Amino acid sequence: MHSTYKKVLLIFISLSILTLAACGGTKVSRKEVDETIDLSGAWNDTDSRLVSRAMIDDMLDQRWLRKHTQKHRKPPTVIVGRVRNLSHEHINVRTFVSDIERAMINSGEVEFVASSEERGDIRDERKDQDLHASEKTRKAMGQEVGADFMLKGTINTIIDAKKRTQVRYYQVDLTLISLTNNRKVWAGQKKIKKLVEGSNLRY
Amino acid sequence: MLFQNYPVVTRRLCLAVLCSIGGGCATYSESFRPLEKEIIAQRPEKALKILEKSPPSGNDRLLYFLDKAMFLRMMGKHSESNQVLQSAKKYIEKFSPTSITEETASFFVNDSTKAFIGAPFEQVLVNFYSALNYLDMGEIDSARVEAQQVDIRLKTLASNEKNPILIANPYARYLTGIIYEDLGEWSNALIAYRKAYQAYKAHQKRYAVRVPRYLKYDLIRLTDYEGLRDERDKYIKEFKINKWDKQSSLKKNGEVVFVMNNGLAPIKRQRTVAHAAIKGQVARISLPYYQKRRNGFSNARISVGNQTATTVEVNDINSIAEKTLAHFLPGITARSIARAIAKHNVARAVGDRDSLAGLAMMVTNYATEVADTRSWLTLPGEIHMARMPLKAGKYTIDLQLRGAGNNVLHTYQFRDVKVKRGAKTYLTYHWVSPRALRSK
Repeated sequence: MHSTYKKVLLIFISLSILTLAACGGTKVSRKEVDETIDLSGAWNDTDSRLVSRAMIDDMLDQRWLRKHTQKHRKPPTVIVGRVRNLSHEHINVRTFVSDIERAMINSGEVEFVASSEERGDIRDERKDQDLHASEKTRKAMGQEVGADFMLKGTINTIIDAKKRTQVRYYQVDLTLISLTNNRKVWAGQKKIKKLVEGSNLRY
Repeated sequence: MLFQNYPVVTRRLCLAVLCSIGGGCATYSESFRPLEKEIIAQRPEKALKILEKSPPSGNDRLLYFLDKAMFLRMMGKHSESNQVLQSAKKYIEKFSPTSITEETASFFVNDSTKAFIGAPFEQVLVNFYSALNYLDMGEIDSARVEAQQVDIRLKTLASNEKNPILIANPYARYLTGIIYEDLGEWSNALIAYRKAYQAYKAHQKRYAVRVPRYLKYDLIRLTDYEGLRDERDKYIKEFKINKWDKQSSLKKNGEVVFVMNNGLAPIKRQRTVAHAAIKGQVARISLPYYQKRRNGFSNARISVGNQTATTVEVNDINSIAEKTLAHFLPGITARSIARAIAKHNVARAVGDRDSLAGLAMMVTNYATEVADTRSWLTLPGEIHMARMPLKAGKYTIDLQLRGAGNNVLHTYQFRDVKVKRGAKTYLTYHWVSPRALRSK
């Protein structure tokens, strides 16, 4: 009888130690921003980066840019329009759109003007300057640069699911549309396919 | 034998004490009463405060997310509500695989030791309410994301669940169709309407909810617009509808889509179905059952001037919950019986060696044998809907809730409702009658 109690006590202590060992608290380790870390299979920073890289290379390499620069002797001006998320995930499209914007501005071959969302603040500030800033530093109204092209796009997904396995197919389409005549001068596309296999068991 | 070492009086006394322990063990649903009172008094902020004081944690964490999201919705904090619903979705995803340790624990303790991930119909309603939140905020593209997720979730559930009637949630399908139509995606809308219609027809065989008349008009209008004449004529004949607004005339106006949440979902209670005294030992089997709460109104009306639209019931959560539990009950019962036998054998083996330890084990076994009464209690018992075409403009829309005798139970006014040409405006309301506390 006594030895049984001892055994039970031993098992209880071992289980307690195991439980305590499992409670290690939060562990943080720093990673390179371009390192691929896939956790749930959902759209993540790697997808955003892959899309923006593919789109930037394609956009800068195409004829529309050379044609426009030769004809007008200045780089084209682009405004970011609506990039619609038609996928099954809540995707932050701003990350890769701003990646594209940044790379294009830094290349010096394309200029961007503030989007409709951004320019509201700028116009408010200009109005404010009109009242409060000195004559020398005040910025006049009506000097904005009109864009030549609008960048629009969509993110679509096709999902095939069975139990806890999913095939996720993402397709990102971006187009540059001439604001003069609605012509589409460039169309870029990037596809990503993932197989997400969830376990049917957990500990 | 453990109990047989004691006189009859002691044994009977023990049985009485154990029964009172069992009865006194509070289940999840019993702890919900203070929150219920605040909901009825239309004080969701107070209900949330009570919830935050002792939030369900551990394996019940999902209940915290679900109830909090509903309280935030009722408070008009749609964005915050959706953040919480996103956490709920992640939780369901994480805890959906079967856990070896939880299954083992549930075999020896009770079913409440398993992580609560919601019944299939509750999981679909997570996306449904998230979509409604986005629609309330005017974020139609984000609502579309939820519509896509409803489709995937229903597909996944259909591949897991053998009884399709449990997972086919017709109204969730119907709402996805409305969202696609609002975005001008006519083909996607028609596909969703067709699926909703099929699901409603299947539902009609087991539930009181009929195919909503609005859906019938949608099917005729869209098949007509898409040039599918044979299909349109089939619907005209089937529904006996000869007059309908064409898509072109609907596009000239706007439309109000009104979603009315009626009362509260049924509440799971515990019923001890067997007190057994086997060879001097006492064991019991407790099973959950649904108790309906009295839902308030029989119909709701929205009106603008002379124009009135009456709601139709589109989702009977009360009945779906009951049928779902009935489907799973044989499994729950089998597990309870197996658990009672296992607990009994262990207690007897221990009791043979040390009668006091055996008695302690029997008391523990008895007290821990409680039914799993966890469910999403802030859901409505029924969902009703009305659609009203209106010219573009700003309106005050009156809501009237009427009882069985057509008497007015409750009124509300939606002020400054903006209706845009060719677009839909979504209005939602949740009303819980004080009668809900008096269960049926």
